[in-house]
Amino acid sequence: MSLANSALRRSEAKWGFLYAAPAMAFIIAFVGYPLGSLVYHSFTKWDGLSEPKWIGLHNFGTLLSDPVFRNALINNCLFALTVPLQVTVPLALAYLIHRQLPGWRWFRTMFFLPAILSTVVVGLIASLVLQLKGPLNEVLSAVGLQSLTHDWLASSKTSIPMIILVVFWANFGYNVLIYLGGMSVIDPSMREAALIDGARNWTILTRIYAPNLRRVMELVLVTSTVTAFAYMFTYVYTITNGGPGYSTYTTEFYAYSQAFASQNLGYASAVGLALMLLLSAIGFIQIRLLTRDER
Amino acid sequence: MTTPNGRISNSGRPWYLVLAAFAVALLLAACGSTGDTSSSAAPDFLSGGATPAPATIKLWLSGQFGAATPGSPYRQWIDAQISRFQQQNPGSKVEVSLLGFDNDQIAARLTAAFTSKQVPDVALIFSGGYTTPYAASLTQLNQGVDNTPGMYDSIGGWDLSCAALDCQNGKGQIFGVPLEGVTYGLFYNKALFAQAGIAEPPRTWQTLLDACTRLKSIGVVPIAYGDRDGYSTDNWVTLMYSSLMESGDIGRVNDGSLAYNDKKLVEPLQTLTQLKTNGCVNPDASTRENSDANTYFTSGKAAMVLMYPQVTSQFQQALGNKLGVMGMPVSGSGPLAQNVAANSNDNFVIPKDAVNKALAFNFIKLATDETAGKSLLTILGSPTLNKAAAASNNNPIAAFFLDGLKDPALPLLDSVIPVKDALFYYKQIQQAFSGAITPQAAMDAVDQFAKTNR
Repeated sequence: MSLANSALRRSEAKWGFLYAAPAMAFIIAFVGYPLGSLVYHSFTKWDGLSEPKWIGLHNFGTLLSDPVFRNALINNCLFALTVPLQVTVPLALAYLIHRQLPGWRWFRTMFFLPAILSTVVVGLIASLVLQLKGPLNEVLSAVGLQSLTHDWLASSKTSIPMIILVVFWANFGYNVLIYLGGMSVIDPSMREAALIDGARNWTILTRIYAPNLRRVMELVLVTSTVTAFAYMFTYVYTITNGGPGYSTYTTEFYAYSQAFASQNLGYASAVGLALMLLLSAIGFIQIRLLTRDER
Repeated sequence: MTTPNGRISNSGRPWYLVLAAFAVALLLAACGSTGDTSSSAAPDFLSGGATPAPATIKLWLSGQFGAATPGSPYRQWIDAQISRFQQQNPGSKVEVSLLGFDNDQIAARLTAAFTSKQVPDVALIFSGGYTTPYAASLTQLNQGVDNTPGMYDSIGGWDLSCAALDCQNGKGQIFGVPLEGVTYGLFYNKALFAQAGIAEPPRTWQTLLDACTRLKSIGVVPIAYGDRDGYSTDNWVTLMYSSLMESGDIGRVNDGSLAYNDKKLVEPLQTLTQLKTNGCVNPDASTRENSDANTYFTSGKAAMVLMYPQVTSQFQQALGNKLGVMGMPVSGSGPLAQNVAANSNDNFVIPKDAVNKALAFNFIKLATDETAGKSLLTILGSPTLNKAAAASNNNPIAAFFLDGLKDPALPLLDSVIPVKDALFYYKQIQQAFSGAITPQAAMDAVDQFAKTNR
C-alpha cells in the first residue's frame, strides 16, 4: 500500500513539475533574472554602455543623502496617505449603489468611467484641465471664485494635491466595482434582519457589510498602497513630467530618469531595489496586521 | 510538494534537471543574443567600394526632427531625401521612427537602444553632448568621409561631431555628419510692435524691458515662454553667456576649470529673471512646453519669442510679412557681447551594431549634400551646414541665422556639456526662472552635480 502510494505520488509530482515548468521558466526568465540583475547592478557604477564597475555599497550611501530621492519618497508617502480614503469612500459609494438609490445605474457608469480610460489619457486630460487657462480655472471664474484660480501645476504645493486627486478619481470607480462584486454575495436577509431590528444605514454598512467585505477591503488596501508607491509613473509623466524641478518626482520616476535619461543604470538599480524592499516591508506589515486574528 | 520521507524529491531529480535546462534555455532566449553583429556588414563598408545589396534601413529622428509627423515641414524634407535615396538605391527602403521632442525621452530611448543593441542603421541626434557620450556605441566615420571626395570641406560645423569636440580638420575621430546649425533669434510680430508704438526692435536689455511695458499696455503677452522643461530659459541664458564670457569659456565650463556657479553664469540667469518679475512673459510660462511658446506667438497672442531657426517656415506661414527676427538683446558688455553663440544642431550617426552600415552611409551622404541643404532652406528655413547650399540662400530669415553661424564666438552651453549634466541643468534654471530657488542656488546645484559626475 505504502509503495503503491509512493509511486503514485512520484508520478503525480513528475506531471506536476512538467505542467508547472513553462510557468516556472517564465518566472525565472522574466522575474528571477531581472531581479538578480537589479540586485547585482545596484552594487555597480554602470552607464548601460560600458562594463559595469563594482562599487560595493556606494550607491546606497549616495541614496541616503540624495535630496531628490528623499523628496521622491516623501511624494510616494503623500500619495499613500490617500489610501484610507481609497478604501473607505468607494465602500460607501458602492453601498449607496447597492441599495439602488434613484439614478444608481447612472452613478455606477459615471464612477466606473475613469477606470476604463488609459492612464495616459487621464493624465493628459488632467494636464489640460489644470492649465492656467484651463477648464478648472474657467469654471472657478465663471462662478465668481476668480480669487481661487491658479496655475495648479506651477508649484508642488498645488501640483501634488492635484495629482492625488486625479489618481483618486481614476481609481475609485474600479474599487467601487470590486466592492459591488463583494456586496452582491452578501446574504440580503442579514440587511433585512438588521432593518427589522431598527438599524440605520450607517450601522448596516459598518457592522454588517464592512466585516463581510473584509477580504475585499484587504485587496483594495494592498492594491491602493502598491499604486501609491509603484504605479504613479504615468500620472507624473503626463501631468508634470516630474516638475517643477524635481518637486513631483516619485521613486519609480526617479529610477527611470536615472536609468535612461542620466545613464546612471547602477544608481537607478539601487533606487529600484530600495523601492522594492520598502514595498515588500509595507506589504509584509499589512498582511501581518490583516491576518493577526487568524494566527 | 514532497513526502515526509523525501523520496519524491530524490527520485524526481532528473525532472528538476529537465526543468532547469528548460528554464536556462528560456532565459537565454529572453536575454537575446549579445554577440557582435557588426560582422553582418562588410568591414570595409566605408571604403566606397561595391554597391551594397538592397535592404530596408531604419532611420531614427530626434531633436526638432523628432516632430517630423506626416504633413509637417520636417517630414516633408525627410520624405524628399528618402525619395532621392530610394531612387539612387533601387530596391532599398527607409523605415522612419520618431524619438520625440523631449530631451529626457530622447536620451532614454538612445540609452536603451545602445544598451540592448537594438539600434537603427542611422540616427539623427543632437550634436556635441548628445553624441559624444555615446561614442563607444557609434561607428567611426573617418574612412567614409575621407573616401568621399570633398565631403569634409563641403560641410561646416564638424567639431561637435568628433571626439573631444575637436575634429582637427578631419584628422580627429568623426562620429557624426552635421546637418544644420543652431543659434537663437528673437522673432517678433511687426504688427504688434507697431500697435504698441515700438518704432524699432529693442537692441539693449533696457529697451527690451521698455518694449515689454508698452506691449503689456495693449494687452499682448510681450514674450512667449514655454519653460516646463527649462528650455526657454536655456535658450535665453545661453545667448546671454556670450555677453560676459571670453573665447574658450564654454570649453572651460565643460572641462571643469570654470565653475557653473561663476558669476559669468550666475549673472545672466539673475538678469533673465527680470523677464518674469517684470511680467514680460506669459503667466503660465513655467508650466507650458517650449512648443507652446510658438503657438502663443503664431496665434498673435504674444509679440516675441526666442526660438531656434527650424521654426522659420512655420512662423512665415503663420505671420507672413509681419514676421521679423533680430539678435537677442543681452545684458553684459564682455568682449564677445556683440557676437553670437552658435554651433551644429544635429548630426547623422551610425551605431556600431547597425546592420546596414553601407546603405546608412549612402543615406547620410545624400542627406547632407547640396541638394538636401537647399531643400532644408526652402522647406524649413533651417540653416544648412552644407556650404554650397548656404551660399545659395535667398530667405532673409534664414540669412540671419546663417550669418550667426559663419563665425560664432562661442558654442551653446547645453550643446557641449554631457547630456546628463544638461538634463540636470535645465531643471535648475527652470526653477530659478520660476522663482522657486535663486539663480545662485540653481548654479551651485549644477556645479555640485557636475563635479560629482566628472
